[in-house]
Amino acid sequence: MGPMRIGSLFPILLFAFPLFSFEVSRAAWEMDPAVGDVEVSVEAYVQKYCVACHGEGGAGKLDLTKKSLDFSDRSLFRSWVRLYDRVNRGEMPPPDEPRPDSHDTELMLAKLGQLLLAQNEKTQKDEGRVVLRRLTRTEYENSVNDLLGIRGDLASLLPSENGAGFDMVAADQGLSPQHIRGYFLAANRALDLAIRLEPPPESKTLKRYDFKSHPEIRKHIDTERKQVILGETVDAIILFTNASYIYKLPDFHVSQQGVYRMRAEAYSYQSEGPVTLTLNSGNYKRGTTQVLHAADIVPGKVTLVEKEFVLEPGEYLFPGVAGLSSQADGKTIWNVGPKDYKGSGIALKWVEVEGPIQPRWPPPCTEELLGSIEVRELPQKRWDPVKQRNYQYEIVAGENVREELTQLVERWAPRAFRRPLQAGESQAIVELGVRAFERGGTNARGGTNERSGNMDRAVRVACSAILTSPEFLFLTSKPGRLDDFSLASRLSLFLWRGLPDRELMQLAQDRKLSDPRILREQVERMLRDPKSYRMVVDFAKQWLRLSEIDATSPDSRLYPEFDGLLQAAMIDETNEYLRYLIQEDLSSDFLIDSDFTFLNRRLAEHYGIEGLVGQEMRKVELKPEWMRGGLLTHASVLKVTANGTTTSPVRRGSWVLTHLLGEPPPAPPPAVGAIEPDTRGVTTIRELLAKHRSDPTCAGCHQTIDPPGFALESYDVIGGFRTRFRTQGKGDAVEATLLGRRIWEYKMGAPVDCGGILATGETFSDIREFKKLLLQKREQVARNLLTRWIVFATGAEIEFADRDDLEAMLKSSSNKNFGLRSMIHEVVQSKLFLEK
Amino acid sequence: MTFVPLHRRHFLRSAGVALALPSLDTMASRVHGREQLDAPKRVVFVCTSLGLHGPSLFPKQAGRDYEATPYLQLLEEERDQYTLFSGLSHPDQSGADGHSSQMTWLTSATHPGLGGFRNSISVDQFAREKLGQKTRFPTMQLSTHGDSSQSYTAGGVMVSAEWRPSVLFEKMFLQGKAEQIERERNNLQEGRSILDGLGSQAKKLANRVSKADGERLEAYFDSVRRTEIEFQQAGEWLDRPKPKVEMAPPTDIEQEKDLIGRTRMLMDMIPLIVQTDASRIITLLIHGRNDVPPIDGVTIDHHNLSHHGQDEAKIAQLQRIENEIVRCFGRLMQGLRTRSEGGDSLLKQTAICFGSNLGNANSHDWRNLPIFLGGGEFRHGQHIAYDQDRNKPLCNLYLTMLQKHMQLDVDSFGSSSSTLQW
Repeated sequence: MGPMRIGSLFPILLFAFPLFSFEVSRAAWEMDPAVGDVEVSVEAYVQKYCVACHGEGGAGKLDLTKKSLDFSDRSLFRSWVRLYDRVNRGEMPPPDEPRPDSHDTELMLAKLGQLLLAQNEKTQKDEGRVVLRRLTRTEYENSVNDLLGIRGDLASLLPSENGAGFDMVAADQGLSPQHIRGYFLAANRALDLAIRLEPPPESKTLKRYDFKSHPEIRKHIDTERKQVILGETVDAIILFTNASYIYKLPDFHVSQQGVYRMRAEAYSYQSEGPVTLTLNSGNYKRGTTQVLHAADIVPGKVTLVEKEFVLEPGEYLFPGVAGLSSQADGKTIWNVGPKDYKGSGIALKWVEVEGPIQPRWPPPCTEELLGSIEVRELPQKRWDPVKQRNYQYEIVAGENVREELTQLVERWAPRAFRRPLQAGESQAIVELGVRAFERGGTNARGGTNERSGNMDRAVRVACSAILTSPEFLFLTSKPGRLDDFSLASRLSLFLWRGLPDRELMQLAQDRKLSDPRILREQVERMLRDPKSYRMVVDFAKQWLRLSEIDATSPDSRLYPEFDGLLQAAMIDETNEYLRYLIQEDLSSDFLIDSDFTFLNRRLAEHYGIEGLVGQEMRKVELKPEWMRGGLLTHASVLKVTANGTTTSPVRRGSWVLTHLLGEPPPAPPPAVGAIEPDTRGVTTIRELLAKHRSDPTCAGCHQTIDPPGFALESYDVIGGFRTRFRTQGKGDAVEATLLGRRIWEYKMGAPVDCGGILATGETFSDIREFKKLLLQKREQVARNLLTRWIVFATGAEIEFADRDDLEAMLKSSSNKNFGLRSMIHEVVQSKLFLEK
Repeated sequence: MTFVPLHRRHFLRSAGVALALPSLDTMASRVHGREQLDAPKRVVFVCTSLGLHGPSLFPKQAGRDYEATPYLQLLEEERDQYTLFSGLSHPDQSGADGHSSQMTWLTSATHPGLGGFRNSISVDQFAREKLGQKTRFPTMQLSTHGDSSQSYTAGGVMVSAEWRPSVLFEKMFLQGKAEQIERERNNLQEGRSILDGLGSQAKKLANRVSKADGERLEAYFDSVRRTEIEFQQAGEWLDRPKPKVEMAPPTDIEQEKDLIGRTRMLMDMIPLIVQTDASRIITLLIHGRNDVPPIDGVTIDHHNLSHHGQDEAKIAQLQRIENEIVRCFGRLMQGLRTRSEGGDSLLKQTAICFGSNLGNANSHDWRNLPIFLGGGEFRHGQHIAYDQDRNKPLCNLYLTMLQKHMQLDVDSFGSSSSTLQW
């Protein structure tokens, strides 16, 4: 046994058995006659074929002589499942070892399989597949917002979720005092937003800014200073570049959270093609800005741009521009000044802001929350020095406080707990409120008299108690079939990422929801509801790791065309695409390849597709020469699989195996260093990776990992199509132009090689051929999607005992050509979904 | 036996920052029994998440007579106050992506972010449990951006950090108005009564669920109980006046890209925290970012520069950023060295581990980390070079800090195999 061969096993084994470093007493199973027989056979097999390498101090840190078939240990159980799978797939013993007798292998697998299944089924029967799952912070925010009819940013007050897998997987969910403190903070903020006792928003909420005449704008034009960047026409101010400190709407302050509407009228200037006007908000506190809306303005047409959005106190607004051409010589408005400037611009006539848009005051959510508890207007405003805020209303304490609080709790707790209350259940919460009332003390927000202040406290304490209750935070159910209420919860968290609505609750109440026909109708209804877009977004974020879209920002010299608008469009493409596949029940084959996608002008131009106008996403038929179609060609996916400067076939290949095929490659062995990127253009990543093909230590895994990444070499770090690498070193001048100017920031370097050979021997010359080969694995792609959906919907990974169910569901889905909506139905109607 | 208050007055005068002393009983209440004999020990962990350019940092020579590299030249004034280690790392850190090791720098949990990963307790939280609550803040997590820290509970939940010096200052030194304190007390009381109610709800619920669910519920219940204790302690601290410092509250740097400005301000908070004994366990995360810090000659964003691809122009810019980060570390050591407590410099009472979770950010290599140990009573002034191919566990250093410096009764931490001897 030479050292070379051990080396070649190392990476595989490390992955296969990362958990083996235990010594478990054998006594437990030896005394159990029921498993003794099976034990011997599995043991004998392991002894005969495995321990030569995996003995004491063995390969891959795995010592098979030191473990028993004690499955009550969860990690031990998982390790045996791994062993089962690797032997079953023929990966162990490794190819260069003598083959085990196939009869031995069959027998061992049958016995081990039987043993694993028995154990797993027992656990599932006793405990269910899913251990007590809590709401994720996204689900928490949606649920509280749904419940109270508010639009609060609550998730950011809770600790971040374990980022390793799907955040609703109960077994991986953390709990800590920080969560509890977070729930208090979040409940407090939610109640501040729901119980509005401050003075009504000013009645004169509409503000209009005529840009041409507004003194705050004019002072940047009528100035003695040399540098003026604003131009003017007869009726408008011309914006040539972004300068929020100049365009910021003067005297506009957000003092209350609420919905605002912004309008602007503008036309293009010195432009042959469309230009883009943006509406933006900035946050002084965070020092950040955000694009709220972007709209195209076509030459020769005065265009009205309009958008509604939620603003937080302290935020400000400003218009902006995108995609404007500079002069052909590359000079900008800063170099030339408005008089002689030949680049394009946007003539902005006026901007209007209205808000907070709140037709009634106190708002409906306050009345809804308080129910029969009365709110009274104060004769004059009352200043609260701690909250630093004025109050105009107060809560009235009626004759019978206990009775009022009981009504409050009995109205809210069932909605929050997603089930009717049990007899006497409300009492404890009511009691908390009553005690808060009786205790008195400095009241939360001031009131004209003590009783009123105390009632305010009592209401808040009772509501906080509901929102921090384990009955609200956890999904509780008994092992076995879910009752209709638990089913309603699981269903609404799956498809809406939030609370069940009245219709679902009513069906649960009538015990009709679990009727397969009604369940199907409800899924259809829920998918039609706009709230289902939350599911699409959250699923794409977690499944495809689009949550990492911000993790790197492209090198501004290599990718000067990149900006925030492009990034937003990337994410929208994938979300819209998935939404459409679900809506039309299209096959999961479309994940691999497609003849359409969703684009706006910004993204289309990035893809080299001309002729689209408008910043809204719409379905676009793709031509083969555009080299697009399927998730792998989405710029979002291509960006999250690259760093900001270079692409790595290893990283992208690993992504394809993990997220599209559901066959994650093993982690690299510890002795191997990562490839050190070199962007000087001396060596290509291919040359660096060539080592992987020649070194058997690496080849074992990399012959599988690298090829998909090679096919994706046709796309740069922001998903642009390329035939040559961009370089900062030596290379040819760039022929393409960027917004009307020459590109000087980078040069064209070595040609891209996007061909490869699969581990199974097939060759491909580019992404199109690769996708054809990938389509041969369509069932595996469908299986992976189905698996991810089950995990997402139920909150537990697929277990050993679930495998037959999964295969049956897959088979049934294949009759529907792996349609995405059919798969959702398949999931919802499955035993895995209907049982705990 | 030293009479602590006298010495405190002495050190406060020499500290450059004028502090009004907390009342005597506060002083006494924060030291229990025999601990009064010894000045308290502190630990600080500072991580710069995008690494430090190896060739600019590590000297060729090991031992005392190393020739200072460009980065070490910036620390020459403190040369005898620190030790530079090479050849330290946590084992098995290949993870979900190149920066995953950021979340395990203080924990050493393996394969961060890969399927089934759950973080383990971080060294600061571990020390906190061993030390008990001796100060207003058992631990303090600082971060240049947002609320993410490298501190994790035993259950693998991240403990949130504070980036705003003004908030830290307010929490430590600003006595609220009577009305505010009263309101806060009420809130805590209400919180406790709700928590009390939650406990009994969880118990009722426990009767309805299966065994495994019951265990999860127990974790919730445990969190509730611990929160109750925290609220109770917060209530007690509410009654004790905060130490007063005669300096204006700091103004936060709102500009997110000003990494160095923010780092410097937080580093400057650390001597204040130590001096007023607000906390004895401090962590600071310097977030490498995707934007361009306002430093002369830097035009490319930090993260990108860390992936320099051997481009000399990029390396030169990267050095400009890292120079400033290294200077901040020097400034921290100096700040502690020039303040004293009970006759000793604060630096002697404080052990600082400054380093990164990346050994080579260009290739995301998590081995051969840059690690400094400053302060405390160690044999400093050396470059201790361990094997580049067979790294020693970084936790050995952590263990050394807890055992030898903090004098905590601990045998191991994370992946430690022993303490370090040099």
